[in-house]
Amino acid sequence: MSRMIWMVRLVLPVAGLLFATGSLAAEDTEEADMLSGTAAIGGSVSHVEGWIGRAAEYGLVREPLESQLDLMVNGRSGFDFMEVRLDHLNEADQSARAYFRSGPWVRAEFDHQLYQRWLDHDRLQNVQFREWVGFDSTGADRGGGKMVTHEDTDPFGRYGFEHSETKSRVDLLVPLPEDTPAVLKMHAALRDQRRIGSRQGLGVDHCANCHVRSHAVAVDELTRDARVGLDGTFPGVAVGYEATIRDFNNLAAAPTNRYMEARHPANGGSAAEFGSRLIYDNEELEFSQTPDSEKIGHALRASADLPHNQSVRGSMAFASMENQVTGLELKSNSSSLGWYAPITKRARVSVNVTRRSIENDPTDIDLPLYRDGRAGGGQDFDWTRLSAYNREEWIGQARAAYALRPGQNLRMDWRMHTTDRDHVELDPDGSDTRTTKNRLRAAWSGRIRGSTRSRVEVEYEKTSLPFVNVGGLCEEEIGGTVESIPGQPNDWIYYFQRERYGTGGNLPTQAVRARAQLNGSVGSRFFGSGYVSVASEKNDDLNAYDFERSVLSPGVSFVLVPSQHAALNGGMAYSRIESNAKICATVMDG
Amino acid sequence: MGAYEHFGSASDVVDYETEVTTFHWGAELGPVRGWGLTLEGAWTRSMGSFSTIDLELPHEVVAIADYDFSEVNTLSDLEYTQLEFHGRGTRDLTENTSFYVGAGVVDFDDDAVWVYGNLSGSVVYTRAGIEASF
Repeated sequence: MSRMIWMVRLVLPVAGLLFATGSLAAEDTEEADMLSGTAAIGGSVSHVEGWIGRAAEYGLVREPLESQLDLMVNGRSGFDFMEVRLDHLNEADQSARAYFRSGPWVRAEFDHQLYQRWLDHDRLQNVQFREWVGFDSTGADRGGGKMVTHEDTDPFGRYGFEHSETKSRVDLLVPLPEDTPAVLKMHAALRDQRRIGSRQGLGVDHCANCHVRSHAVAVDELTRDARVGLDGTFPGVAVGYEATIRDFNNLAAAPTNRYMEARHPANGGSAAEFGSRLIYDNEELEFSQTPDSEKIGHALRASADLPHNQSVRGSMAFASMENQVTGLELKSNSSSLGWYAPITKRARVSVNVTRRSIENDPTDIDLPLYRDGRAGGGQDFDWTRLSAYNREEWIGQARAAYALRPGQNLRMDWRMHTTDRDHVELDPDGSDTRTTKNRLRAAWSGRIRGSTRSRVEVEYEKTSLPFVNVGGLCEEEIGGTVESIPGQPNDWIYYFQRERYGTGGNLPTQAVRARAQLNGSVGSRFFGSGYVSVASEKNDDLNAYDFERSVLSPGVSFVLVPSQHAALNGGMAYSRIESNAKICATVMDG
Repeated sequence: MGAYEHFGSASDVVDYETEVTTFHWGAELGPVRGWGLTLEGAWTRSMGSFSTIDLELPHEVVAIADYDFSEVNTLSDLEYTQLEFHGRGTRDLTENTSFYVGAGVVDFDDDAVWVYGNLSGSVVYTRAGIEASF
């Protein structure tokens, strides 16, 4: 049924435009009228071997004979213009686009894309291990301790979804009295996105058997956007406003996972003790669900011309997104101001300042008492989750461009970006929450000789307190005894008593990046280009290790036109990225 | 019942390297006496690998946890090779109509089968039809 609705939505606007074109062609007989296009009809046969999720990640490949239809029509009559494109291969590989313009007054666009996207299926075979407990009578290793296991409830599942996106937009020029020195335009736009199919979902038991269970999860998501706006241009001033509303609906049934009864991970006993440490066990619960949400936004922008070809531009935007299941709300604000000016005939500068902020509602986490009713238990771990999204950002940027001589330019720009996260501490030795990043970039571009041109760009970036996971790596040793819990042996250690000490991250405190490019031609038949990018980044402010990353990325390409009936092209691109990270494996006895 | 000890983490700093190499080529010949030919293709090789993991144990007494991790890094190896080739030939039938025939192959070879199973696969297609302009 839904496919029928989509086809109706697809056909109606296209049919309307075709009808309009027919009228144009029939009624207008002047020489300027034109209707042209191409139509192709054919067939396709394919052969598939193995898994096509990578060989044809974005395609539904059918082995039997498929019909293929491509149609492109465009027409012009006076100031009116229209174009329609249709491509059809199968039920999950279609596209349609229509464009109509009536002089300066009306412009309408319609675009529909439908395609298949394949997804991976994690086989989970790395989740399979049993702790060594000794040697058997032959001297071989004997497992029998704690374990990690996996279970795939859909081992032959092939996951993917059909993605459809339908966009339409209408722009209207508002009629004004003829001598009004202003232009007013309105626009309205709709966009629907639908994803229907299946994906892999993982349910994870903890402290039962370290058991990961894979499920096929239905995907049925609908995202709808609507935008309306008004733009006005007056002598020396332009303003614009746009309102946006977006609805996300998860229409699929919620997947469920059976969470096993908690018990000792090796001998299967002590169910009451292990169950008292968990929030839930021995029940089937929903998991891996994306909640419905609604977003409303407003954006305002303005620009004004100043004397001596200078100009200023500013914008403000506000958006509010609400989780329709929990009622939690995320609000974002942004505003920016920019000044652009030619200083001399050879030099121009620009300065921009932007402020952004995000506020996300906190939420209370209400937990049952830890080991409630057990000796030494009853700890209350209720807490309030303060969002890591909350932040205030300031971005300042100054740019200068100078023409050294005709065909040669020098550009410099400096950018400072501060991010102050309300609830995320970034300093292992303090409580600072502010990241400050400064970047200085210089670029030269120009003609070297003849038609050979080059561009060289170098930048240095220094960051104070980049985003890191403070105290998130590697556990401290708690050998021997710890502060005892009443009623418990003083060498029993629970999760909440364990501490981590390592700070890790993959963002640099210092970075040097450079890129060089060379383009040139030999005669009129050969054009070639080459580039190389390098980067060296490091963060030596971490306490567990020094992070490093290096990038090398060269490439060449060419176009050769040996005659007017032949053109050849080719190229090569290479990329190597090296980085490091700290791996930690917790070691305990018991 | 033995003591429940917590010895902290065994750890190591490992290197991760990715390498992607791509060659692409194409040719457009014609139209010559009503014939046209378009060829294009690409070869891509993608690799990713960790260095050998050599965990430093946090405590000498933890002999029981002295597992051998020397091969663990290989379980995350990624190595893919993709070769694709597409061709299309056209023959004018009249001033406004032409016949086309095309063929192509995309072959994806998974040389390090692990996390997602064997992702190797190939698609071969042929297509033919008539195109008219007006």
